[in-house]
Amino acid sequence: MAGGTSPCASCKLLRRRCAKDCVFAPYFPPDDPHKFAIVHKVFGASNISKMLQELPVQQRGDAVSSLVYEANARMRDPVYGCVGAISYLQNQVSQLQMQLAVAQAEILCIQMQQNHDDNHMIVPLLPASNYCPQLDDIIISDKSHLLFATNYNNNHNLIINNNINNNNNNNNNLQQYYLSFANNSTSSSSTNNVMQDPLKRESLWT
Amino acid sequence: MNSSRCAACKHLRRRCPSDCIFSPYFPSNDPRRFAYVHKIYGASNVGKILHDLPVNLRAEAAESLFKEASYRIKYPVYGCVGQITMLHQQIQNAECQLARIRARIA
Repeated sequence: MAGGTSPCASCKLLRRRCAKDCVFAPYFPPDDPHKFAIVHKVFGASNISKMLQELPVQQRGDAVSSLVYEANARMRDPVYGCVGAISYLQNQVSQLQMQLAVAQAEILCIQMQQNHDDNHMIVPLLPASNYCPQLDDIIISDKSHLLFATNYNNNHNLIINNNINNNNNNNNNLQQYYLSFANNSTSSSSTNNVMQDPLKRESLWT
Repeated sequence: MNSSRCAACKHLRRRCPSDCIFSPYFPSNDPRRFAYVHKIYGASNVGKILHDLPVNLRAEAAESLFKEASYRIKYPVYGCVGQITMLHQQIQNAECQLARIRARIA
């Protein structure tokens, strides 16, 4: 033991002298032997040492935390480890994306219905079912202005410009709606990817 | 000596016995697969993990070990835990969005 201090958990387990510059000592204190035991069981002390030495000092703490997390996951689930958790979470994200798309389509339908109820006629260039199309991305602004829905997969541009003028008199001065329909490509099922693409970088561990 | 060694035994430069625990999951035509798991876990630990599992689960385990090792090599600090953190954030954002939209519908 160097300087009379207690050896770190790693050196205790490995039954060796804990050097002053021991790579494990800052991250595996002697009061938590289980932490090193579990990463040693899964990864091995030699591999952990190599991994830590390849990293800058300021990143080693986070690396140890993530290794401990992975080791615990592997002990709990020896078959799938962390990969099982990733699959489960990806499934949850997909389900939420679908729910979001349904909710956003619902809002669109409600707003279109409200526009219709305000005694403004929508010229039906599309079948009724297309009033609530499969949508990838919906940007909805205040209903008295522009309602804009775009399905990027199908190249449909459904633009409804509702320019309400509350000062209209009682003559048959109908509001004009612009309905443009571009590119009647065959519809394919939407993936409803309302989420942004995940960031392709390491996220912060706190 | 086995005329066709598995990727593990080729990497470890040893004989590949007929009951080699690695050979069903680390074929010789994909040396990277074993190289990755060996770099992160070590052959001995991989062998122990596989040995402790029923035979019908070993293929899945080998695959998940390879995926985790790949993540760790690509992201040396956070490994696949970075992906988990990101997915949690995505779920939280989506739930907030969903709650807001449902409040508008209600």
